[in-house]
Amino acid sequence: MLTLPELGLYFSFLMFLVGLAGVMFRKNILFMMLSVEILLNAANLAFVSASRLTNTMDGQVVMFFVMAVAACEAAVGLALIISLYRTKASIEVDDLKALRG
Amino acid sequence: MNYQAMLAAVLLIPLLGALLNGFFLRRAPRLVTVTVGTLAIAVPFVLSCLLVFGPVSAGEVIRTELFSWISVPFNEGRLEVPFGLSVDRLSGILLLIITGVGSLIHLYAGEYMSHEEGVYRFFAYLNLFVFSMLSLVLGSNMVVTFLGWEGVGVCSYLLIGYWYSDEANARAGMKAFVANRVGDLGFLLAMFMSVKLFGTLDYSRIAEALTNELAAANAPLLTAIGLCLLLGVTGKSAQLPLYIWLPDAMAGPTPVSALIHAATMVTSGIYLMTRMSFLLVHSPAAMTTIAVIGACTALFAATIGLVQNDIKKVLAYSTVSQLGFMVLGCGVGAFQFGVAHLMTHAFFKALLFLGAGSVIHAMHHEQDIRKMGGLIKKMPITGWTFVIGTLAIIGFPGLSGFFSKDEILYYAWSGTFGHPLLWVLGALAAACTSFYMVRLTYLVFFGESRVEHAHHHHDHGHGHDHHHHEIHENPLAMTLPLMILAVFSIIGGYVSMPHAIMHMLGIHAGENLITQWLAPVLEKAKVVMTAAHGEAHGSAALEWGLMGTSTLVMLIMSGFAIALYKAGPKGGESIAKAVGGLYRLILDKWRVDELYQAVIIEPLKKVGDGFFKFGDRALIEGIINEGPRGIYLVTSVLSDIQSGLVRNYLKVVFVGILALCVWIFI
Repeated sequence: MLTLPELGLYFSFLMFLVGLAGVMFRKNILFMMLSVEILLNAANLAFVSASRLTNTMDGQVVMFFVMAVAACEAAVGLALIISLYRTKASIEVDDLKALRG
Repeated sequence: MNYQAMLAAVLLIPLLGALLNGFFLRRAPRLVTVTVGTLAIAVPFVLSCLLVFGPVSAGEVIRTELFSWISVPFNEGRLEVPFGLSVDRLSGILLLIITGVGSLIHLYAGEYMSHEEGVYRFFAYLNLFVFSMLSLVLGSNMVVTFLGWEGVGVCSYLLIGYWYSDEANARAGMKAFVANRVGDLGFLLAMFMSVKLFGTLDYSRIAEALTNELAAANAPLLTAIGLCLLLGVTGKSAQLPLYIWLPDAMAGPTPVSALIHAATMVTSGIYLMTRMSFLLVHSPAAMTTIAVIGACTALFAATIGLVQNDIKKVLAYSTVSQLGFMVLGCGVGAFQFGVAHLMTHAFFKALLFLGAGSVIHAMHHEQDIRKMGGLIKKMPITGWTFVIGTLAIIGFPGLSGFFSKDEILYYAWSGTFGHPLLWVLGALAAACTSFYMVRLTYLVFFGESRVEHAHHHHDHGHGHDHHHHEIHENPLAMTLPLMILAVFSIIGGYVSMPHAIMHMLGIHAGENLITQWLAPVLEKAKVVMTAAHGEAHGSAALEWGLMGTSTLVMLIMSGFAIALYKAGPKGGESIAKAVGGLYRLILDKWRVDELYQAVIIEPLKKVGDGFFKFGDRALIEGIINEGPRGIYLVTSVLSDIQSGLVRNYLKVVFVGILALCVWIFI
């Protein structure tokens, strides 16, 4: 029988796959942002689970940093999406290929 | 002030004048420009007089070095070429002519160009020309001379094309420059060979190094040096086959024609040959070639002069012809009389050109002698000085041209490298000279006036319209130079008085003035010539005979010209009709320009077209256009990876991380 931290690790792996698939296959930047949040939270879950498994506090400390960064990232990202929508009238990521070689 | 500093000042003051006029006095009033321009030549003239009549006439050679110019390792030693100046008796004569005649012409030009805008440019070029000409004659080695040689070419180009808005003038300047470049190549090759043979370019060192043994061992090389120098001379001194630029050079303002294309620049070839006389005389082949080219040029150009109707064109062909006489004089070994004729020619041809300029100025840029006539009543000073110039050039007994030309003709027959045939060519040329100069003078100044009163202006793109129609004498600034030059045209020839006349007058000085004066310069050449060919083989009887013959021919041809043109320019038409095709051929200047066009320029154009099509279009543009296209093809594959689509980048990142995990954990 799996212990709770082990279960958390497996679950974080699955969450990560979900987030990765979201970032890679969604075309809408908003949903890509959401997927990035899922990725970050998968990482958080992995940190916390690992912290419990090893009986150290490091993972939990890092988790708080990640949450803070994630909040900032969400704020900046949403602001970018809004101004993008204003100029391009679209938040489809495939429309943004001005930087192709 | 010591003499070295004076020598440097003589060279540098004209340069200073050119810089002042060219850069700092652009907005100065005309009077300032003209004064600075003229003083920049007149002050060196005074210094030159002090130098030449002081130490140089006492036999000294003044030398100075401004700075070390070239110093390179060469043949285990060093090749040192300082910016060295030296003035000996030969360069002294040239110095006085350049600065003396130059000052008069500057004075004249100030008035001649009085209707022009922006004369600062004109005077800057003119001063720069004098600077270049002085470095040509004062240079103590071939490189400094070459600097001046190129410099006068550039200034000539700038001044021929002075009225550059007219395309014909710009083309004439270009033609002069290109023809000169061909000659310059000869000079350059001669320098290279001199370095190889002597290891120095200093004239006096070359003279020391050139011993009889060295000359005997390197005879072909010396002939090659002589012929290359000759090529340079044909370019600068307008000899066959490169003379074609000089008649076209008349597109420049008339003072330029007088200073550059009659008195100074075109005589630099004669200077160079005299300077290198010690080398040339070692090669009879080169000397004979020089003499033949000189004689042929003298006759050839004189025949063209017979039929020209443009006052400046007649004088231009006359200049080519007279230069031929000088080259002939050098070629037969009578260098001192080449220089003497250079001097007298500088006086009378500058006089004739300035006189022509005076006429052109008064006639508001009319140059066709068929539209002149009777001008002597309206312009007495110009007219009578022009007559003196004409008498001097045709060799009227007692005037300067008589002495210098007859000495050349005498030596053409009896000189070391002389031959009676050369004399025949020269005498024929002299006969033509008498005819065309008397024709010119008579048609311009005597007979009925054919001046059209309704002026049509030849628009040179310069000057203002003139509303005063009456033709009148020009102001003193223009007539004073004419009068001074007229005096020298009369007396200038006495330096080269023939032996026969000296004996008759009871002067027993041995040699005439010019021979004595140039003896130190020509000493080496004379020793070589005497050793190889013996003393010159003339006699007083021959001298009298030749002199009498040429005087007689001169009188007959002059009388013939006056008789023919008594009734105006139509007088020659009956003869022109009689010889029909020949007349048209000569009127077209023997179609030499057309010949060059067909033989040299057109094939060159074809070659150029070929190079353009193959070299430019195919090769260079091929590389430039097709090369990047190939690079683009390669890089476009790589640049496709950067698609600009975020998910593609994410895929790459994901695959990368996966690979990293596999590599680390497994």
